[in-house]
Amino acid sequence: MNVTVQGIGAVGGFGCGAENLALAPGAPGALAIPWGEGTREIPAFLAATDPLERFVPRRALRRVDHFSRMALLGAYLALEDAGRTPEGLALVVASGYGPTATTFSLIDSMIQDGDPCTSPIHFAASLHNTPAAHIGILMGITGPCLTLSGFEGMVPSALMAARLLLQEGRAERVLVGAVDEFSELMAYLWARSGPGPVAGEGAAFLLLSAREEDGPGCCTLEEAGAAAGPWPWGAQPGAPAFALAAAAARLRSSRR
Amino acid sequence: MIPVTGLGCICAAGKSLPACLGALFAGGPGPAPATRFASGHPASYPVFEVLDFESDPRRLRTSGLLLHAAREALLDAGLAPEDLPRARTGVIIGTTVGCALNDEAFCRAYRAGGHPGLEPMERIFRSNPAEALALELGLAGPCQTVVNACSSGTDAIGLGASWIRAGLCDVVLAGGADELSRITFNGFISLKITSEEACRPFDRDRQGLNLGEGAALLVLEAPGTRRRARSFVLGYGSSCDAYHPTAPSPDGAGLRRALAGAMGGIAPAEVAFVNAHGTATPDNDRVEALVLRDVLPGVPFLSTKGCTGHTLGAAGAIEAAFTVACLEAGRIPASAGFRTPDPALGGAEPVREATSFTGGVALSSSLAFGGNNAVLAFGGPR
Repeated sequence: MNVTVQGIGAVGGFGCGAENLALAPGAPGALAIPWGEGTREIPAFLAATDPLERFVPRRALRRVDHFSRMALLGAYLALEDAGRTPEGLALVVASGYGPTATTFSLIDSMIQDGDPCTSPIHFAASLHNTPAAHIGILMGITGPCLTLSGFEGMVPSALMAARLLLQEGRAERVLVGAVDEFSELMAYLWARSGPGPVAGEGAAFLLLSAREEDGPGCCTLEEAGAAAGPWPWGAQPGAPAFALAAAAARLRSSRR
Repeated sequence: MIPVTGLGCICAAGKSLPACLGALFAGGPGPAPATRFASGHPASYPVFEVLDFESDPRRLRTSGLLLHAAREALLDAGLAPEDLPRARTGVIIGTTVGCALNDEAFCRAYRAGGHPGLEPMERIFRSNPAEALALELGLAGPCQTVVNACSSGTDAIGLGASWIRAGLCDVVLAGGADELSRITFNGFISLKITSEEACRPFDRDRQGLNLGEGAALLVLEAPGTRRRARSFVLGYGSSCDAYHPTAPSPDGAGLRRALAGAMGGIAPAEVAFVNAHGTATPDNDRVEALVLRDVLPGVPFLSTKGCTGHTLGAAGAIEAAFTVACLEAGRIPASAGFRTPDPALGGAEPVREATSFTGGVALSSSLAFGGNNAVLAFGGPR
């Protein structure tokens, strides 16, 4: 079975859109976290999700956190890039750490106001599959929706799941991607873990198809492989999804 | 048809599948106040806790529960860990709490201006359920942790069967695991869907769910295995409601699609019973009962959550194990907690007493936050 990449959507410290994946890494931004008596700036490639308002009314995003917004933007961009509607879609989302900022906010609500005041909004949004829920609701995806959590192997694992959905005819096309955020918690863990590569956050999605009538798209999954660094998206569990998206974008450009 | 050659289960109803089954037919244990954590709620919200169970403190309790179920399942299949084909054995586990970076003590220390050590977070990283089990057994095949909220365990089994059908694995260890957590406990109470009494799935007076904890594991093997199949995975369907982050679609359209996916080629008359999700929340039970009434009229159904509580990411796997065991036994227990029919369910009501059947197919369904619906179809050996 030939699985082709029909669309690419990505958001990260490099901006958003497939074309920006080829950018050389610029200077990272920084997240300030409390440190001793003051604050400490932790460098990271941080993502802005303002372009999401091009796809979703601001009102519909009121209760959607940054983690889910990144996933939504990546997914919408991939669908737009492919020129497709959500009909017949399945969704596979992978995340290493899940919605860590909202999880911290949930615990904050317990600590600051007591157990009876635990925030129901933060609780509902603290689940790993919240981005998939938002994507499903806003896009109207009624096919299988799968969220996976892992580390090194999670992107290949998500691609395998997507391929099986196509192979078994459970979906016509699959949106598959990875998302992780660089929250205050992640910044603290980065700072305490000692020197390491500059971290990043963002979402990278691909629209995959095995239908001949969809045409060759950007390339096949096998052709895409992974783009060689240096990478403008920073270290994050979903990095292989960005590398794959960048490689697919490069192949498409070279064939135009 | 994917053979199920081994089963393992641990939950408040028992520390092995036979013990759990015995408890289900005996009416099960009731919920009780949590012993492992305190809460500041004025009311008591009882839970189904696995008592007298200790696990390796270097990992989350979720991993300990999973390893316990895995040992039973492998023994049941007659497989020693060293017998497993290392590169051709996959592991796929559903969870919710088992992946969450939600250590409360760490958060409290950090918010208090301290510099807490990273051990609590490293412990969570070490506890990714599928990775922890694969590491424990030295396996190198496909490895996935499914985090589809409360349908995770069902999805894990359905996807594990796909791995075998696709020829990716000879053996797949598929299941779910979740521990009781104070954070989840407070979260469900905040949503106002937790009962202050023993839960009553599908009952007119149901007040909400009781949380539980546990794990279950199914050993799935490629067709043609020499080991005895206790059952077969006949089908799996999943869908998304695309309706609301935490409430099921009132028309049950998503659940109908998942049922249709699982039942491809199975006639309603072949279905002996349905082990329903049946959380005892007003919304879940209403949607599920009305869909079952329409799609599978007259087919007996039950919820086992009155004996286990809602074990979240483990629920689908625990209920799949119960479904297989009941298929073997040729009977299902009474749906614990049910007393009074709910007129809003259109005449649908779960079984009131242990019920024998002759059919060879059973379904196990799960509904989840995020709008996920997942259904498994099992068939007995023929």
